[in-house]
Amino acid sequence: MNKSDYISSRGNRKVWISFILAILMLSGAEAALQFRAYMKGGDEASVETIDDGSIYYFNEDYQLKLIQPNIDVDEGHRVVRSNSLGLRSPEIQTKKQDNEIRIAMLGASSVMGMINPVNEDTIPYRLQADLQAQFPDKKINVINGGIAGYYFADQQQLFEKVLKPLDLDLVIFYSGFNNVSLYCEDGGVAPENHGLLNLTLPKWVLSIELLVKNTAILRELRPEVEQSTDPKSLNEKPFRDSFESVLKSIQNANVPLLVVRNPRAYSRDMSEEEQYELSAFSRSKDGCFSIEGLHDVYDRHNNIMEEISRGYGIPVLKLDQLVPGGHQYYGDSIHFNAEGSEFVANLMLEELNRDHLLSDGGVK
Amino acid sequence: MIFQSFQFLSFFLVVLFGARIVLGKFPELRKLFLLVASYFFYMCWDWRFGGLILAITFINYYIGPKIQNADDDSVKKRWLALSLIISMAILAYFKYANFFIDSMNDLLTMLGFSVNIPLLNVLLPIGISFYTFQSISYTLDIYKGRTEAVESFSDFALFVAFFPQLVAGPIVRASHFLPQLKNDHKEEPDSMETGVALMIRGFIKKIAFADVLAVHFVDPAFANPELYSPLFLLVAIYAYSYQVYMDFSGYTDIARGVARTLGYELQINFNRPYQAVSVSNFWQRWHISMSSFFRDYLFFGIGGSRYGNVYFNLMVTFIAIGIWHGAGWNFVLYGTLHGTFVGLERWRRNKRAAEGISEPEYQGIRLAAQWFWIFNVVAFSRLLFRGGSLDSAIHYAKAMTHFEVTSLPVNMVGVVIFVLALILHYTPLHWTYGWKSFYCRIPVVIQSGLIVGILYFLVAISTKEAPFIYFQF
Repeated sequence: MNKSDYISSRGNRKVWISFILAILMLSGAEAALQFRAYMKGGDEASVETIDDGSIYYFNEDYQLKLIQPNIDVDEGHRVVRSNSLGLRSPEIQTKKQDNEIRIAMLGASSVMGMINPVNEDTIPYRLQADLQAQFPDKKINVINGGIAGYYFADQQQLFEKVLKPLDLDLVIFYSGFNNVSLYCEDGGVAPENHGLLNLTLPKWVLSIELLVKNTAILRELRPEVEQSTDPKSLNEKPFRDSFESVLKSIQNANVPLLVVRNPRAYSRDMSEEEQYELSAFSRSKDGCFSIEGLHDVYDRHNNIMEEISRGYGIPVLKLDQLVPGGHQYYGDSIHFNAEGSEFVANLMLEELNRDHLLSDGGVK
Repeated sequence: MIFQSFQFLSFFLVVLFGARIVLGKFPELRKLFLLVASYFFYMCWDWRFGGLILAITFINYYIGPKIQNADDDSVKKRWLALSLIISMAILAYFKYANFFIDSMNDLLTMLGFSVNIPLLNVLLPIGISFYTFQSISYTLDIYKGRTEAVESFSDFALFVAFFPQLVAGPIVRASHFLPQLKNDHKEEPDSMETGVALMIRGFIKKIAFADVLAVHFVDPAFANPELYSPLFLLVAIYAYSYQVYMDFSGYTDIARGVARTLGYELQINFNRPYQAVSVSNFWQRWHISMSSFFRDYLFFGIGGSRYGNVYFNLMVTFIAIGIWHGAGWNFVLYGTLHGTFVGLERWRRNKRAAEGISEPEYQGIRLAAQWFWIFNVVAFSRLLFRGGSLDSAIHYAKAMTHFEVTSLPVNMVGVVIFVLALILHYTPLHWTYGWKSFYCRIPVVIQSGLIVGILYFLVAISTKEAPFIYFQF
């Protein structure tokens, strides 16, 4: 066959048709997923899909990922209702009422209630209910200031832009450990690139993300073969600096603060198998650490947070030592189920009372 | 731009569309388009190396006709020597300069001199060993009268830079590829279909086999050998042999598949290497384009079995093969080890011939035992290859004697893939041909579904976007 005749070859024509059909199939699957996301999340779904669903959007003014305002979305595993600020909280008035106590719980997925099926199962909601029972004459508002995936920098930005103007009486800072994940991202330093072009799949493509998320078991390693980073070799300064920066930001606003040590569902006294199972989420997130490395790195960073907080005279709630591990309170490695939220809310209430952070029904 | 990336798939579709549909009836423009695409492909790694490949291309293009047109053999030799010296000097500078400096420093220190020659700050251009050898095969083939000097610079430039095989082979001979660039060259019917089938097989080999074996066995074992039991380390050595085979032959399949979809044929590079019954037989089955290059141009060039000492010639050839893979004493030792085995086999064969004893014929259990023995020779010699240095190889070997360590972290996915790799390697060869003809026979909708299904499967099982092992050479 001469080169100029190849188009007429039956086999070659078949290849073109198969390519076109394959592209159509891939596009069809993607379009179906985008449509599903649109139905769940509204207009913004296809614009910015981040994390575990499509309920988020990027607020250009605040330079922050937030939940789409005023949505009531059933994602199958959870229903998310948001207020006009883009938080998983009831609507809140800009001006505080005279008899109102406003508390913001600042954090990430644990505060947001990533695995809680309804808003009422989140820690802020449970704490609000507990406080309301303790102070029936007051109007209690515990604002859920948690967004999944937030780093310290995002939390500081959220506080500055969204929460601070709300005239808060107290901030409970339950940060989560998203900043620890940064250690696993090539040390955060990309090699110098002299390539002409680097084309990657657009971030809004859902098919790949969905596929990868649902086939984790195929890529899961036994704990012994994980490529582990030695926690002692980490440069902790950026973590310290950014954490301290959040504290300073809140202190400068003259808002009392309670810092929470980040808990986890697995502990060293459990069997290896149990730790392995319970640490699945942590391992998928902080994959450069072995299980022992995770224990070490989480403890070290909790200690850093506590040390810095104590230095500023800020009380610290040691949730990591107060909440029993296992399945009773946790839905995965770090996120609480409804029972866990209730348990944690009670512990927070006890701490607030112990430290007289809310003495006499008002703020100290 | 590695093959298993979104960028390459997009690039490939654009190039295929441009070369097949838009410029299909304009062969000269089509070749120019492929040349530009090939340079673009290479410069996506590092635009600065575009000049290097252009320089090597220009030098050998210029020298080719000089060799052909020289009347005197000594003049031909001088031009050939110039081509070899310049090409090898460029390769040596980028690939071996720091090795020589480092070795020189060690030697001077050993002799009591306190001299420290500073290392050069040079980057190793990806695929330099492949395209340098390809370029010099052109001048060598002209000198030997196997091919004629090409008139068109763009044809020659395309031969050197043709993107499917540019960074990891197969090393294409001028006498094989240049005739395909002639406009009256006949293309195999249904070459696109069989090309796509080859590409699919290559992607499966790389992502579903090589990368999975790396993640579950090889990488952890070689990163911290002291943590694992001797049994796990042994399995990891075997797994590495299959990883490197699946990785490299996967690359070759993709390269051949892409080339075929564009209408060009590249030579096969592997032929069931672990079914070899001797180390020499292994080298006839492994990286065939490279081993045959060294056989034809170096071994025969220095006398082969006709002139000089054949064992010396063999050793020189295998040490050169070792050094081709990388700059380090581990690679020198790797070549020496294989040269020794091949030399011994040659000596035994000669001895048998002198005594009138015929060569043994392996069948049944004896054949399986011979396969296993040769596989072990190859697999263990690759400790030198994978370890990265002599010290690492020794460290790994020592860890294999720590019988008190019992950690054997077995992962089901890893085990299944490993067993499957073994089974596939020993299945009859005609089944492989069956797969290609099966793919070509099925209806087009099922072909598309297969492409989508395999794509999703590979995304699901893909542990990382790992580069091909042979890119470093």
